[in-house]
Amino acid sequence: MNSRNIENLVNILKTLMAVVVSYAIAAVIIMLVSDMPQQAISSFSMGPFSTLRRFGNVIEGMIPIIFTGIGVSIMLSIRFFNLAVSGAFYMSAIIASAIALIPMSVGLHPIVGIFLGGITGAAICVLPALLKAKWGINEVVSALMFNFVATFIGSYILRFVLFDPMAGFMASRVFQDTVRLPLLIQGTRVHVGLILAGVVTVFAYIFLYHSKWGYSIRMTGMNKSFAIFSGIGVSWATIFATVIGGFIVGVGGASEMYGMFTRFQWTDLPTTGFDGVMVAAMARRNPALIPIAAFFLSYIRVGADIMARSSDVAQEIVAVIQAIIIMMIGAEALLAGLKKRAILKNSAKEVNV
Amino acid sequence: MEAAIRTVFTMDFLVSSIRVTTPILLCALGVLVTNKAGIMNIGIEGMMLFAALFGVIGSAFTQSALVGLLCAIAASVLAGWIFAFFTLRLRSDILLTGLALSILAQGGTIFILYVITGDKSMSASLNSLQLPFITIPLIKDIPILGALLSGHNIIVYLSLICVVAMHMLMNKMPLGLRIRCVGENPATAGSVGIDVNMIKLKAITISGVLAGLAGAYLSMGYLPWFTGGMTAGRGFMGIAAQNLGNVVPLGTLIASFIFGMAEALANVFVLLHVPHEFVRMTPFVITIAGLIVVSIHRTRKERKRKLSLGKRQAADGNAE
Repeated sequence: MNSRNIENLVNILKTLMAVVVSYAIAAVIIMLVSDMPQQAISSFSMGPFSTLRRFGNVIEGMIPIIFTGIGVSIMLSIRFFNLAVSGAFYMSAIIASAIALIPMSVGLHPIVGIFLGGITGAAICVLPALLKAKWGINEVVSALMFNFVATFIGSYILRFVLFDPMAGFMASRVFQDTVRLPLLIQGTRVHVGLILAGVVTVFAYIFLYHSKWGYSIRMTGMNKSFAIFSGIGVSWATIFATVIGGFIVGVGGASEMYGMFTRFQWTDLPTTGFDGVMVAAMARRNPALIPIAAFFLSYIRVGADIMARSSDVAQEIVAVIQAIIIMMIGAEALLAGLKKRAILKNSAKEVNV
Repeated sequence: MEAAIRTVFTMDFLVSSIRVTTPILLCALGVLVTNKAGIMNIGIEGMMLFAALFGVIGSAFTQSALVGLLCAIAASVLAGWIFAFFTLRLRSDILLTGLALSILAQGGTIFILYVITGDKSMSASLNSLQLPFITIPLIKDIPILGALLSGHNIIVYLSLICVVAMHMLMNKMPLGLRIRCVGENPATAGSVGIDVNMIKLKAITISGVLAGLAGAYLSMGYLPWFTGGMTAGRGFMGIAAQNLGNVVPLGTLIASFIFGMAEALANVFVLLHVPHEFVRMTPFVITIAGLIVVSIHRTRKERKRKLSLGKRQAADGNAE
């Protein structure tokens, strides 16, 4: 066992601790506010597994989060905190919806739409990186601005270009049938996007951990000075990472549209971008762990939804769990003493041998 | 379009701009003070949302607007301390923690509202109070200025006082100097005996008070009730405004007013059934453009300085 293994173990322990603590706090809150806490807690924790349809809800909910989670992981690997993923996800869904209204042949249609969605995602995610590289502008501020701009452009497109006056509510016209992603499991809404998410996960893992480019991205993230010293173009690596990550986010937005919806009807940014940040933090930027984290997030959402329908507790309790997990996982000082002691002890042993 | 233009040149439009500017300005000042201390406070959206809810709850249960305001500030400061505990003590990532605080507030306020009222969308069933609107005795009788300057909510006036106070704090007081020092170079600050985390905590607390005022204004002045997600990105606008204002109080005031005017103009457009998206987008585009201009200016200045430094060194070399 070496120091890095100890660090990984401590990280896993910390993640488990965050989950347990957040669950405990949620349980205490439920007990305080509910008249039927047992019913609430059991439907929250077991509900998602009770029927095939509900389990299907968990799976279909995790698909877009996998895409945004992987996109964010690639960008966070180079320490680029790109909140523009929200705007990118939204915008790519809109572009994909616009494509979905145009008649096209069966096999080609979703491929064209998803590809253009990916391009849209990449184009938006790269903007803060470009501003940072060219003028050194803080990426958090510029990304927030681009999110607002994307929201307003999206709202305009929905209201004046895609709008269906016959729908009776704010929605686009109905997509062509040719664009629909086929179902994977009968009796649920789980669609082919799941396979696509799996492919992207494998690709991203190989890209980040077993390729030259992935190595330069991670190296730049770990130690910028060393990266510059070894001749890695930091600006280019950042732009590259945001293009790849943004493309994946965009593919997620488009496939979510084609798999789950028949009309575009988001009037505001969906939370999927921020969900991506959360699962990337939980998985510590490792694409291979993203599906697990995405499953967990989707599972607590579906569970909370079932709980809200079968008891008197509101599903917004999920926000408490989410927030506590995000805050605790990032906490450097948490378990730092334990980690230090374990590493010291281990090193002492190694030296003696 | 003509109707829109006509509306813009009325006193009502300016007055409504001021009304919309206030929460953005308070938020922007709250972000400014933490920004000076080297903390990017994207959690301010969450702090403001908590304040808006607890202002309503506090005033409804005690039937005192003042207690409501204090509850709002307390809730916001408490949220700030949670943020501080995780970022300063447990060394969590500042941006992630800020994001988490926003998520917590988005869901948490609706959860609390549902527990208290059984309604998820708004607090209309709570009999909450509004903060007083102030008519200034003599000024209100001046023909045009009277309508502009008098009759606003007390927080509107407070927000202007806050601009001056923030200027004084940053430029004339030891705490402001320490905050700037900690933000610019924490290691140096620590080396001269400044407790870096303590100063950061103070900055976060001030930010909490300002976000509390902003939240209280939203639910106890601008509107007489709380609705879920009523901050509607104003915290993020605040971040933009203080950046556009070059992180100084007066600039922040002007930038916030630009944001306020765009919002007010967009509201006019909505009423006239004209696409309002492009107006609403303008301040954000201006902010991006402003950021670019400022940084181009800065890099030029630095290059010039380096150049002159080089010349001086060359001259020194020749003299030897």
